[in-house]
Parts: sequence; C-alpha cells; structure tokens
Amino acid sequence: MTGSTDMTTNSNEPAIRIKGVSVGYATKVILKDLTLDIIRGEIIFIGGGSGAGKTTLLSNLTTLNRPLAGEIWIGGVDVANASEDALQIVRRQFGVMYQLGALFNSMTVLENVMLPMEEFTTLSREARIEVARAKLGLVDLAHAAAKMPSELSGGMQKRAAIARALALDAPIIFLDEPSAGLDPMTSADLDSLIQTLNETLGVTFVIISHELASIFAIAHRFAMIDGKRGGLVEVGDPRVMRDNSADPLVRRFLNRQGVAVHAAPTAS
Amino acid sequence: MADASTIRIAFEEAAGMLTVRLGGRVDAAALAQYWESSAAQLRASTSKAVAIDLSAVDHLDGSGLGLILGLEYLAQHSGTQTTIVGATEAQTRLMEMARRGQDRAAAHEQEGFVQYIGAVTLEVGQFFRALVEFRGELLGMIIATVRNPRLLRVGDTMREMAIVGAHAVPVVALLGFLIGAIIAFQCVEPLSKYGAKLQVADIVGVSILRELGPLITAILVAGRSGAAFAATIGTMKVGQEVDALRTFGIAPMRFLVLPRFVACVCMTPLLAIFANLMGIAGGAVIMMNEGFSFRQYLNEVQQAVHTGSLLQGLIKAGIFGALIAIIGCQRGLATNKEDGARAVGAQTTSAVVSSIVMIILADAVLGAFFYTIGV
Repeated sequence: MTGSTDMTTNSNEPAIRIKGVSVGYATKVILKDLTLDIIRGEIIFIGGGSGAGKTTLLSNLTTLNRPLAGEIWIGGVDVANASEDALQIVRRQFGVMYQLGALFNSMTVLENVMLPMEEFTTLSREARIEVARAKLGLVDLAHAAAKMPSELSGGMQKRAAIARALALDAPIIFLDEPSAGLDPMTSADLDSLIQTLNETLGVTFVIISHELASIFAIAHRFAMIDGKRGGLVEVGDPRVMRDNSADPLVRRFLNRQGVAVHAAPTAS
Repeated sequence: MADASTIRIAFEEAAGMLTVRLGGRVDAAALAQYWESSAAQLRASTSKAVAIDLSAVDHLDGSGLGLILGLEYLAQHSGTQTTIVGATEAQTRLMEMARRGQDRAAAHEQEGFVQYIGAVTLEVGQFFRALVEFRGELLGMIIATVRNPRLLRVGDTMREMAIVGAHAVPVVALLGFLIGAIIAFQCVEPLSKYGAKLQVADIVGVSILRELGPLITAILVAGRSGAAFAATIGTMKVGQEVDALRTFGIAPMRFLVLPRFVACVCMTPLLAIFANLMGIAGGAVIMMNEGFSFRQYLNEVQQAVHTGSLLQGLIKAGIFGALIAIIGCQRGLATNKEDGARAVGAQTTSAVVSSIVMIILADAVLGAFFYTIGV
C-alpha cells in the first residue's frame, strides 16, 4: 500500500473507519486486509476494474453482509461485529442509492421519500409531506412528486433514489454506480447535484464507480481497490494520482485514453 | 451565546408584520417538536407580511429546510407577503434548489367509480382478446410442430413434465384419497335409510372418475404450475429476457410456451388417473369400515362405471391442462415490464383466478356436451 494524500480535516474522527477488513464469500476471499478512513464531509470514490470487489465491499459497508475479518466503524459502532439491534440504529446514519434506484414500484415518488420518515420519525403527515417535498426539490423532482416510479426516466429514478436516501438526513450516503446507464449529460447533472449536497448539507458521499469523468469532476479522494492485489492499491487526490502515482496500474486506470477531463480543478 | 444544540424559535408581531426568528439547530428534531405549533401560529396570524429570519441559525439540514419552506408555503398560501432574511449563501442556495418545480395542485389522479367500471370492462375485453390472439399464435406453433417435430425442445419439455407431473403426485394423491373418503362418508348415512348402502360405491366411482378427479387435479395444477408459469415468464419479461429471445429470432411461443403447454396437456390426465385411483381407495376405506369387503366394493364400482366415464374424465383433464398452460403463459407474457415486481404478482394472481374460473366453466360446458352425445 502506497502513500496517501489526505484532505485537510484529518483531525476529526472519520465518518467510517475500515480496519483490516477482508470481504468475500465463505469459499472465496475477494479483498484482503483493507484499511481506509473515510473523512467526514468528503466525496470519496471507490473504484477498480470489473470484479475488483467494489460491490461486495459496499454490501459490507452498508451492513447487508458481514466481512470475513476486520472492523468497520460507523458512528461509534463496529458494524462488522455488532448485534442486529445495534445495526438497526447504525443504519439510520447512512442512506444508500442502489444501482437501479430500487424505488418501491407500488408507491408514488413522494410516498417513496416519505416511507422512511413514516417508519422512523414521529412527524405528522403534513410535516412529512413538507420535508419530502423539500427533498424532492433538492434533486429537482418536485414536479414529479405524484408520479409512479415507472413513469420516470432512468436518471430521474436515480435522483428520486437519492432523495429517498436523504429522507432521514443521514450524514453518509452510499451511491452504487450512479452513472451506470446514464448519458454523459445526465451523469454530469447528477455529479453536480452530489457536489451541491455535499457543499450545502455537508453530507459524506461514498461512491462506488469507475467513471473517470465523475471522479475527476467531483472526487476529493479516490481509493483504488483490486482483488488480485489483495485490497487497497492506493488512495488520494485522483488528479495527483493520475500524474504522479508510482503504481503503473493506477496510472493506467486514471490515464485511460479518450477520457474527457472536464471542469476539474487541476492539481498542476 | 445560547445553546446551539437545540432550536430556538420566536414569533414577534409588530405593525402588521410577523417575524419568525429561527436560531440554533434547525433539523429533524426541531421539525418534530415545533411544526404543529408554528403552523398553528402562522394560520392564526392576521399580519399582512411575514419575515422568516435565519440569521441565528447555526445548523440547517434537509428536514429543517422542510420546516422553513413549509412555513413559507403556509404564509404564501394565506395570501401573505413572505420574505426570508438572514440566510447564508449556502442556505439560500439550498432553498432555491428545494423550491424548484413545487406544484402542490398536482396529485396522483384518483379515478371515480364510473371510470373504474369502464376501466375494468376494457380490461376484461382486452383479456379475452389477448387470449384469443394468443391461442391463434399457439395453434400456429402446434401445427408447425406437428409438421416438424424437431421444433419441440424435448429437454425443456421433459423438465416441465417432471415439475408439473411427478412433483405433484404426492399432493394429488392425498387430495384424491380425502375427496373419495369424504364423499363416501357423507353418502353412507342418507343412503342407508333406503337400504342402499352399497350404492355409495356407485356414487364414489361415477363422481370421482367423471368430475372430481379431473377437477381437483386441474385446480391443483392451476395453483401450482399455472402460477409458476406466470411468475417465471413474468420475471423473465421484467428482466428483458423475453426481449433478448425475440432479438435472437427465437419465438417465445416456441421456447417458453410450447414445452409448458405440452407438459400440462400430457401430465394433467396422468395426474387425474392418480387422483381417480386414490379417490376410489379413499371410498374403499370408509366402505370397509361399514362392513363391506373390498371385493364387494370394487365389483360395485366396476358395474357403475365404464370406460366412457374414465375417458370423459381424462379428456376433460387434458382440456383443463391446456387452459392452465395457455392462461398461465399468456398472463406471464402480458406482464408490463415497467411495473416490475408488482406486475408479476398481479399477473400471477390473475393467472390462477382466471384458470380456475375457466376450468369450472369448461367443466360445465363439457358436462353438458358429454350428456348430449350420451357418453
């Protein structure tokens, strides 16, 4: 594991602390001994080639599966070893947007956003509607509040899923492949939405993606993982890594030809 | 400096102007605590103008944003001029984002009763139309397969036969046995009044072979296999697997429907034979309990039923099997892929209910037909 160029707020307690974690299935270890601190208020991309273990790592971070070894600390709880009751409380600390949105098809968009509030808060219906409306406004979907998910385009479904992930004002949001299946313009709009929510609400974004355009546009840090190499290959500012990484795999990954590096505050 | 970990909220009314001063943490907890009272204050206010002052706010999250914009909306809704003052640049940006496209008039369209009746009528009409179209297409495929038997995917058909037929044997046998026993049990008492206890065997034989054996089998196959057809094909439709078949130039009719159709048409009569045998055995248990010998009972059954009764039942079972496969597969293929899981559930339910209704309708029609031709 090579050096890291951390952000400025290193003194704060990290939002998520991943310590010596191994993930995989009973018969197959995919990532071994991965250690990484995710800093409060950052946008971090976790990337790697296909089959590198990105989605498996995400399912461990979001407490759907438990790692084979190691600790994952979120909000003062080690979710790798916590009881199911403790996990229920930790789960309110984060929201997740799944690759295909995973909106509940039998509810309107507004009801989708209201559902977590209905289950976990004591808010009156009127207050829930106001909050859900504000959150749909944030993702520019207020006009579609009364629509059913099947009436939305792919990009709109993902935005609605982000609004639902924001429903309980969780400080951490996980996004699984947000740009998969989106055209570059919609994808760029989604990037700027993520950046705005990060800047205005201070939400920490953990994004599983290998979309270089998005990484250079909005990532504070990029963590490259690779199953064949065991775990974390390198983490740091993606622009610095692209130009100066000592690791040939990282340089090749970030310098793929034909990539438009748009609107990025370059490191040079 | 006051405590920054909770919200502070104050209402000041002066010179026709209501000022709402917010401070501290404006978040979900604040919203839960103050929404009702704040909304009530605003509604009761007679001021011509409202100012919401955010200058003392230390922390604002998404729920707090909902509180501020909700209050703003309430004030504007009652025709009051509303301004928000003292917001930071980030807060202003958040509020501008959240205000986009808000249209409270738009609600999901609720349909009236008459509309509902119309929609249901159209739906039933479409169902029958789709069924007729589907049968036409299937008939074409069957004719083509008879001409060129290699069109039938033998492996798939065998697998479906095992699922539809062999796997259903235990439950069909159990139900058949119980139905035979129940009929015998219910008939013994009234018939013994006329000294015709032995004729219970006639009733069991005729009713099981002609009607109940095939009917019970068909209802069971509809619940097991008809539902499975609709759910499997529906899920494939949602996952675009059916589209993939089509673009390969493979007809879903041949790949998905034909094996299931053949399996159902072949296996439902075979299962009905099982149900028949077990039904007669069920009757036997009751009759032996009433003091008749097994041979006596069997002789009586043999006198009462003839090959025609058995064939009538088996022909019915074959037709029921065809209906189950057609309805199950048609419902599956009619799944609307945009509606996802909900549509699969709805189509599966519809497949089972329509199959059972159609089976009983067909039973009535076939019963009348066989009676007319004197079988």
